Amino acid sequence: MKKKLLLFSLFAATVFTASAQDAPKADPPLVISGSVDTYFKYDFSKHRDPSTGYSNIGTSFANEQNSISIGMIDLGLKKKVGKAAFVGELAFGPRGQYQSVPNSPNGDSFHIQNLYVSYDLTDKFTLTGGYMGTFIGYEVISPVGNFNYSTSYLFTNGPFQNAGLKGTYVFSDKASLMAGIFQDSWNSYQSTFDVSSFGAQLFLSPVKGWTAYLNVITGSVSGTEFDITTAYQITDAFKFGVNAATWSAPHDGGGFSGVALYPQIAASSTVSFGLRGEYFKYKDGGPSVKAFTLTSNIKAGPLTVIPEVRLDRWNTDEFFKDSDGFATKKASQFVLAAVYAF
Amino acid sequence: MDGYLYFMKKLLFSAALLLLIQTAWAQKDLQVDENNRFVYYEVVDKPGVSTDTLFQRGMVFAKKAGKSTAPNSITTKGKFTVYASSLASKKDAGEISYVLTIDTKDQKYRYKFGTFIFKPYRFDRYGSMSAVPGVEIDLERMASKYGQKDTESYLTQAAEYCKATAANLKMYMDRAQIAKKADAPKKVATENW
Repeated sequence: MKKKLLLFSLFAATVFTASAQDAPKADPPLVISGSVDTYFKYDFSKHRDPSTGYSNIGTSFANEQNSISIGMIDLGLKKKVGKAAFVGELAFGPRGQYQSVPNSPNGDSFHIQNLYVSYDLTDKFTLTGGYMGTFIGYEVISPVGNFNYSTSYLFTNGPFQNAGLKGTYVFSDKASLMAGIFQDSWNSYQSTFDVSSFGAQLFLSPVKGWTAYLNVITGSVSGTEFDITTAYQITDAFKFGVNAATWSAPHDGGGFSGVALYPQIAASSTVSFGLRGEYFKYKDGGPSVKAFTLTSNIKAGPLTVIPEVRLDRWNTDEFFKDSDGFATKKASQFVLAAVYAF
Repeated sequence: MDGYLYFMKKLLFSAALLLLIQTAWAQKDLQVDENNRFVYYEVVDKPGVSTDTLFQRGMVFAKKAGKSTAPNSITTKGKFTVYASSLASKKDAGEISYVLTIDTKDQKYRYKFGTFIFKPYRFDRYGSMSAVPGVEIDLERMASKYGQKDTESYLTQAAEYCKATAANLKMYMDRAQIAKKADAPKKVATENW
């Protein structure tokens, strides 16, 4: 009897021990994420282009005058099994289609923002290939990734996507280096001639809270852009960002340069304010513009409400119209956007 | 009949005792130390095993995790991803880094997971979730930024990760046999029978 009791106890102990030791490492789940965004925009000059319905300040998105408009439905899929991963990101709506991605030769949109695969050759080195959002610049296409709803001139004039093959080596959490070969044309599903652009990014985090990206992309078709993107979370409440870039078109065909500053302050856990001050100039004696954007982010869980006012002033009157339809150097607008991230 | 009842009582008592021990081993929640910091902590008795032996076994575990230090005390760092429930699936909400300290003495050792720091993720330009640069939050302050529900979910995931890692550590400290690859199927000759 005692023997049976002892045997049962040992058996049970083994079962319990085995269950405690069984802790297999599972692959991360399939991740479905994305956003939807919608907005109202009003240009204080009331100018409205009769053919497009656009107002004065024509950056990448949110261009319609006195209109409740849609941005996009953005859907991202990501899955990693072992060392191999894929990302597919689709977007539907003006922001996610003709305003940010190229069309096929017959005009259809593929709706693809990102489509690539990656493989971790080692713990520190990853190869990634496919069609990817650009590594250049401070602002991005997705409204979730930007503090301001309207975009900067640096963003509008830089690349949106760079298809290619890149390798990323992570030295530590303070430094990494990416280098790769990319399509000769920016924002294109296929090359114009070949895959002959070279791109690189050096990531540094010298102190806690400070990140800096030094970027370059150069090629005979799309020219050469040098870009610095840096941000410092100085305190829990205050963050300061800077983006500076210069682009030269191939064959001395001009270019642009600019700098944008992004001070942001969190008034509470749900309300933040940010100011973007930008100076942008076309090279070779081209026009220049100063743009000031004051934005607030008001968060309610996954929903962010973004009220924003913006004032742009060019050194020429060729771009804007006043309320009477006459050329003017300055324009101002109000935007109220809502972005739901999931 | 009396003998049968006596046997059943002893059987039930043994089972209950084993269940209690197993539950005590498998701590579900994080604890709070003297400095009001979250930790996952346990002292484990190892009768008959010396300090040096336990230290060497701990070093084998720590080398696998990538770090090691001073005599009789091992410090290693790690991190793990925590997830939030999204509309249609789980989503990477962020990562939690930690420091694991293993101290050894004669016939016992202790381990402590602590210094938990949360780095939130957000949707990045590559259609993936990645850490928000420059943002780090001590686990103790999470409730003030992320609300009770999300904080409890992340704390639970942190405790589950610590429990699983601690179980792995114990295997090394016990020098329990690591699971081998499954043996190849046995070949049989079917022609001659």
